[in-house]
Amino acid sequence: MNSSKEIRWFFPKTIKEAIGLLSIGEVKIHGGGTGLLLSELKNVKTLIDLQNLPINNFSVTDEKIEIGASQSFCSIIDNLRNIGSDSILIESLSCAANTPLRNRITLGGSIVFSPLWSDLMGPLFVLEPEVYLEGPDSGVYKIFEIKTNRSIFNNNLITKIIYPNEKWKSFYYRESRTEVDFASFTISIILKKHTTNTLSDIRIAITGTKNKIERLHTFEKKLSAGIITSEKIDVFLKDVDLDFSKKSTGSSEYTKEIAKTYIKRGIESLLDQ
Amino acid sequence: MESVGKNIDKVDSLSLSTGRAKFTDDFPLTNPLHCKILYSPHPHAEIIDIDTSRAEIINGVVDILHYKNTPSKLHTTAGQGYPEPSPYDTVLFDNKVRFTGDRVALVAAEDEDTAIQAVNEIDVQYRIIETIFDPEHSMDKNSCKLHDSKRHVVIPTEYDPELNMAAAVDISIGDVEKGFTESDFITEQTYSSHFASHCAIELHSVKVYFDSSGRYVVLTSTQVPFHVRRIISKVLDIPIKSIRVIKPRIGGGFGGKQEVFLEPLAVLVAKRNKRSVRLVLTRKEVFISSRTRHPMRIRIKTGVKKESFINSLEINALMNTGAYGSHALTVLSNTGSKVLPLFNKIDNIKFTGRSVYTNLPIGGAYRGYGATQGYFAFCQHLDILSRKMNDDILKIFKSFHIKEGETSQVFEALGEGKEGVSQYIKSCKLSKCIDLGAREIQWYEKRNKKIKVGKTKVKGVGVSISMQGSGIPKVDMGSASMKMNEDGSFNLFVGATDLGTGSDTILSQIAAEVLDISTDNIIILSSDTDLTPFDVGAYASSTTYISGNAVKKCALKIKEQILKVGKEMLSGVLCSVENGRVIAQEGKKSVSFEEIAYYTLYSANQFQIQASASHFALESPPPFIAQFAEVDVDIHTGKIHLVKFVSAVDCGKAINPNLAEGQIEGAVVNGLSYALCEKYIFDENGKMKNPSFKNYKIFSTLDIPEIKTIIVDSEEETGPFGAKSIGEIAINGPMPSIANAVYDAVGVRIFNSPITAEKIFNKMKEKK
Amino acid sequence: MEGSFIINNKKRTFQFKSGDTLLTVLRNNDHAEVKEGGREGLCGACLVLLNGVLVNSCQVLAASATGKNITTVKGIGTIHTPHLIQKAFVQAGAVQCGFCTPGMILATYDLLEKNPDPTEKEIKKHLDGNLCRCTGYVKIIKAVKLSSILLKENEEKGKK
Repeated sequence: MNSSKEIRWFFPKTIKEAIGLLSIGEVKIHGGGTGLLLSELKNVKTLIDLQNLPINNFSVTDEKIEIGASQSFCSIIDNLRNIGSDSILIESLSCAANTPLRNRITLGGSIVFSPLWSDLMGPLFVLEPEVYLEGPDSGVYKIFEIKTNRSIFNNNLITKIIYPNEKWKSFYYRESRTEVDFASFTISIILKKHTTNTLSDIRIAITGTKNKIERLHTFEKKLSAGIITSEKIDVFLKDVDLDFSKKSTGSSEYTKEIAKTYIKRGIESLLDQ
Repeated sequence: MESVGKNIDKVDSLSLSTGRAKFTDDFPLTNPLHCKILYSPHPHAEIIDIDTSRAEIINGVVDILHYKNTPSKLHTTAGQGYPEPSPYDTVLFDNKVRFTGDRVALVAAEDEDTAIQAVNEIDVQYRIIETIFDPEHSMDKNSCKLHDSKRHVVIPTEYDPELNMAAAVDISIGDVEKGFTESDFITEQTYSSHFASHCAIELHSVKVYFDSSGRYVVLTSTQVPFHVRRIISKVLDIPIKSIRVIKPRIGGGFGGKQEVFLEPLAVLVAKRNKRSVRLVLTRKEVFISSRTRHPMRIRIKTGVKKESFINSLEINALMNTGAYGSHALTVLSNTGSKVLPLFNKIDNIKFTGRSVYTNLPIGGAYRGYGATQGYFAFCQHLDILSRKMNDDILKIFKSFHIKEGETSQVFEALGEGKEGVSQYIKSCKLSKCIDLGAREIQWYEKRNKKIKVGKTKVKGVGVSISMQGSGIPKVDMGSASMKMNEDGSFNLFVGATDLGTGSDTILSQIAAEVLDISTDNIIILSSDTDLTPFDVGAYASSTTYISGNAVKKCALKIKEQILKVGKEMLSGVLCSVENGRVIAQEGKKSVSFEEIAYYTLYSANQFQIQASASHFALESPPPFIAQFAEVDVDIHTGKIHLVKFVSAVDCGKAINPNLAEGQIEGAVVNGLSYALCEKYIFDENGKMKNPSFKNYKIFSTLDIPEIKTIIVDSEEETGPFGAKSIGEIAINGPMPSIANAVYDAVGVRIFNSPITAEKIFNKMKEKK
Repeated sequence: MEGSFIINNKKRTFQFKSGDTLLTVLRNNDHAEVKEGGREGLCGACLVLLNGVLVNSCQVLAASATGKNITTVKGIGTIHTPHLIQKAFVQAGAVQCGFCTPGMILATYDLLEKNPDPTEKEIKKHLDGNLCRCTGYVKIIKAVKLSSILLKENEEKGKK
């Protein structure tokens, strides 16, 4: 009977202990629980709860920002605000889900599940953090690598991310039916200006396309190459190939068109600042 | 000691705020059976056979109901007065399913998980039947038929299952064809509105247990406790006297809980197993299997004479009632009867409507009840006409809306399941509402100005006006009884059903006003079929007007008795009631209510001061509203930014202005949400693809614009202390007002709801 | 399994299934003031404070919450000793059906603990996880503002 199906819970206190438990098979990790409950706990036999692990840290130096995997979205927002950051993460994570869910959704869980309304992955794709994994494949990974190698989470544990503490101008847009809704796509733009209309660096990520998340590398390069004008953005955007399926907010054609509109608006608004 | 017109705290609000007040599922039952329902995965199929053997052997499964072992009495689930003006086309379980989500079987088990497990083990053999999803083709000769000819209506109205026709409405006043030939210009346009869910936050819940003498006690989240009792009795052949229905606190209804579709099932399980029963739907079940707002396609043809506005009006409405005909006639007839009288200066009117079956979710009562669909079409149409005539729509509205002392032939021609009732308007401050609303939205500063907002947005304002009713004349009845206690307090018993609206409070205020005491001396008990007198329930904006009048009459009888005793105690002088005392006009001698109560209960000629009264209305005075939307539309994306929404309403005398405002604000936000983002998405099998709050979006705090509500008091002489109604009307305006505001901003019209950015975007593109 | 919780400052021990949500466990054990609206984490009817953090109890597995402090709306105030926030909701007319109210009260309490003087924007943001279908939120937002005023007045009084 499903009603008598019991789940075994473990509450490891050390990372080593947690890694050991991961290898016993048919194991799921319980962080905030929101990702797990989305899949309604089907076929879950063993849960490893992360609450006692020392991975709920947040620290900052002049060079880097370090965020522990168990940090909830709310804590990340508060911690970044407390250090006076204007990180794109503050804006993006503030839009994710709703207040009580932001208290439960964790950084690690969101990287693993990349759920539809986690407004995390787009910003991470532009911030380019290093992701720290413990387990058989222990090591430091680029965020892009993680996306293409998701099976790595089966027996490894994310412990933290670290990214350079740099000043960026940032723009975040999410398309949704109502304010509290899954984003059908998101646009993350961070840039550094060289002069008023030239850039020293720009990074643009879009989520919600058929590729789920992508960086617009070619487009970024073109923008970095010289003086930016509104006309140039239009010309460059023509070559940007965004492929959407039908979304709750509109058809694929419409979504493509307005995604480009918002990319342009984002760049222009940052240049205007 | 004035009570009426004051913002008395809602009588149950502290208890609700502290988590003490109980809703249906909050009452503990000892060891109940838990029910889960199996729903059809097919939109249209015959059940060849059902095999429950695998489910039965599961430990903890107690009973399984399906078409082979349950009574098959035809009825309607519409919780309306008797006989219900909806077709009797439903049985508890049928050997045919008519939409994806139709019920097939019910499992009762010792716990919920077991019931869920067992539901999945029931083997059903279906023979798939052709489907019809498009209401436009439902009545075609060769389309499949949902219901056979055994199905019928109890009252003499048009019903033809051979044609998939659940109801028909046809009225004609004057001669429209002749009228059109005399018109200067003709305008024809079609408007369509969409499915929507009520989304009461409390899920539909029923609990049944047996009292000490073995009677059924039904705790249920219902708007219509007395109809629930009657329908259970008829469907299950249980005497009325063996059933007690209690309505505890209700977590919102909006029409969704005017539907009696779960209670008979729960009582049947109790009857078969002699056990208490719990039946609570999940959010998904509420979306797929309960009731919806009927989608409607409305074609309007108007002929306009330049000097006198519309002289001829033809409306054809096609209502999609889904798989069953709950409220199929009355919602449709309300589209005519709640819209047409507002514009009573049109000589020639033809209204034809058809309610048709499709293999889609069932329509039902939903706040606004056909008027909402009608005004979406008609107020857009009037906006089109005003622009064609190059005239200010506010001026047109003010000239042509019905006024005090006037009538409309439609009142008499169109009722609910029978002919209507002629009535003259005794209170109407709509023109004042239009003026005050226009001032608040700054109409003349913004209309037609296409003000640029930022780099990419243009501002627009739009307006709509509407009316509703106050109960159903010659149909609805409400009653009240009262008794006096030693301390001069009173128990007030009403059948009226407070589903969160505040009717317990305003009915207490009405009683307190009559007796000139403070409202907290009224102890109200509502909606318990054993304890309170009859009331039709909470629908049709009836409670304040109908039940309120009953309470007023009842309190007047009490007052008479109090005066009589007071007079006796004060030795026969002329007396009046003031501030909880009876006062002799001469000599200023007085006795308190407390002294009177003690006297009647213990001293001399002992008797209980008590009374009861009923109210039944011969008319249904309409409340009126003018609603204004201000939007900023992005010209590159079609996105609408809702800036402000204003409602100015004449609801008669507001018994409790704060609660009346709350009714308006709630209806407005529901209407805005419906206009812009709420939507059923169906797959090719007519299965709802978004049955959750994740995917069916309703407005949250972050989505609301600035909301302003203006109450314009009027005196309705037939209402209790001048009151009319307020429950439904404000949901009518958001969709047409937004549509008109979008046109004002960017010059495109959205004729089919919801009003989405992409639709606007595409139309703007076409226009270029 | 068995687990203990400190609910509204009282230690309680319950038997429950290892996959049960905190909502199920609370409702099965006389805490019907915690409402169920859909079990999706999106309506906020089931909000509680878990070690002072506002969470949807339908999105928390009870097994992970054992030993922790849980505050329901009854822990904020009762019918006989209501909290000022509860009084403010009454006074503002913010309660219609009242089904969302316990969650709204907890979200308000949580907000005002952190931010005693919130702007309208901050109020809306903090209550974005609480759906209400009756009020249109207008009077709820008013109630939060009123709560803020009443609490500040009360604090002033306390100082004197």
